[in-house]
Formats: sequence, structure tokens, C-alpha cells
Amino acid sequence: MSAADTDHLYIGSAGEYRVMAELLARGYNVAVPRVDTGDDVLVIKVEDEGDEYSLRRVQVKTARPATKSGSYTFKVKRLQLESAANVDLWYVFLARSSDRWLSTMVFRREVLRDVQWKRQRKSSGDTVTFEITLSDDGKTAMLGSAELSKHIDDWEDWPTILPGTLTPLRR
Amino acid sequence: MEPVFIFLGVQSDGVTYQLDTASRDRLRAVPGARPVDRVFIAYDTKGEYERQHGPFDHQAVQLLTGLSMERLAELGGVELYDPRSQTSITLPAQSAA
Repeated sequence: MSAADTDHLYIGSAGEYRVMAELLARGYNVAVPRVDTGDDVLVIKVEDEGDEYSLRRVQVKTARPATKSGSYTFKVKRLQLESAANVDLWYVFLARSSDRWLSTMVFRREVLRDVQWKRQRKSSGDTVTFEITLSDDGKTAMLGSAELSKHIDDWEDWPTILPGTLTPLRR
Repeated sequence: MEPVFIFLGVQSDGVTYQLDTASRDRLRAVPGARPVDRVFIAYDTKGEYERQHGPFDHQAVQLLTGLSMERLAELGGVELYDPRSQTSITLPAQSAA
């Protein structure tokens, strides 16, 4: 295995854990499928102590900056992006610059699909590529002329559902 | 006028119809329409869907939009997109079933 492949595996795995940590901190239970069939993380939101729950899927993509352009390339499966499904799917794009996470972009599937279809109505091939340019501080994201900054740290669909304040420990 | 655009998703347990966001936003401004994000029709097997989905397209679209096929035809018609074949079909106003 090449060094690039190894790097990709480590960063990819780190990205998944980073997203899972964020979701857990917000009060969502997470699970990783034992066999990889396309979903990185399954999220279970228990509405009640009974049978009321909802299931969500999260696909995590990580990227390092391209050597020449400095942009970040994220590839997603076309069929997954364009399909409709009864379980909601989110994509989280994580950009890793040198030794830190520069930016986290969160997209609901239909939003990312919209972004793609506005650029090019139909894609060819099995993958769709998003080449995103980030500012040095990671707070501005551009895909060509399309501004994607509003999706940076956009956890609006994932409000914190843990009980409000923590009880101080008694000594 | 642009047709109402709907994405199709076929899973092993059923089929999902989903309005694209532009169509959903547009329908929200149409009197009488009550667009919902998705409609899911459950099947026991994928083969069952392959045999039966045609007749349900019209019903699913009407549930999805809250509008009759005639009204949808006035609004530019309906296009169903199947990502498996990367093809879209124009749904006729009248069901063949």
C-alpha cells in the first residue's frame, strides 16, 4: 500500500470519528455498519423511551489540499447523490490542511444534489466531484462561482437534544 | 413552463418519490398545492415494485404535490428522473392503468 493510500485511510477514519463525536455531543446515538455497504455512519435519534425513533444516514468525505491549486476534492457516488430514499442522508465534507481540520461542511443530500444540478444538470460516470476552494481561515468555501460558505459548520438539522445544563459534581 | 421534477429511488423494500427543492419551493406558491418532501411506497420485494410501480406513479405524484394530474399538466407537467438509468420520463396526465 502506498503512503498516499495509508494517509487517505487514516484521515478518512479520523474524519468519521470527528463527525461521530460531534453528533454524540449533540445527543445523537451513532453506529457504524459492521460491513461497509456505502453508509459511513447511521444515526439513531430516540424520540421517546418507547418505539419512537428516527434513523438518519451520514456520509463522511475527507480531503487534503491539492498540490497545485490548493483546492479540496470530494468525490461522492452519483447514484447515491441522485437517488431518493425514505431515510434521510447527509454529507459531511472535512478539509484537512497540514495538521488541523480547516473546515467542516454539512449538506443534506438534496441540497448537495441541487448544488450539482445547478452546475451540470446530469452527471456522467459513477462519481460526482466537488472541487472546493477554501479561504486560509476555512470560513469561506467556493465551488466555482457558487458560494458554499453557509454550509460550513451548518448543524442546523442537528440541534443539540441533550438535556440543558450539566449538574456540577458534589464533593 | 418547467415541469415539476421528481427524483425516484428504488430500494429493496420500496420506492421513494422526492420533489426536487426548486419544484417544491415553486409548488408552495401554488394555491391548493400542499407539497411534501417525499412519498415512500413499501414493497415486500424489489421485483414486486418492478411489476407494479407504473400504476402507482400517478397516485404517488398526487400525494407528493397535493394537486391533480390535470392541474400539474397546466403547471408544465411532471418529469420523473430515475438515477439508475439516468433517464427522465414525462409522466402522462392520464394513467394507463
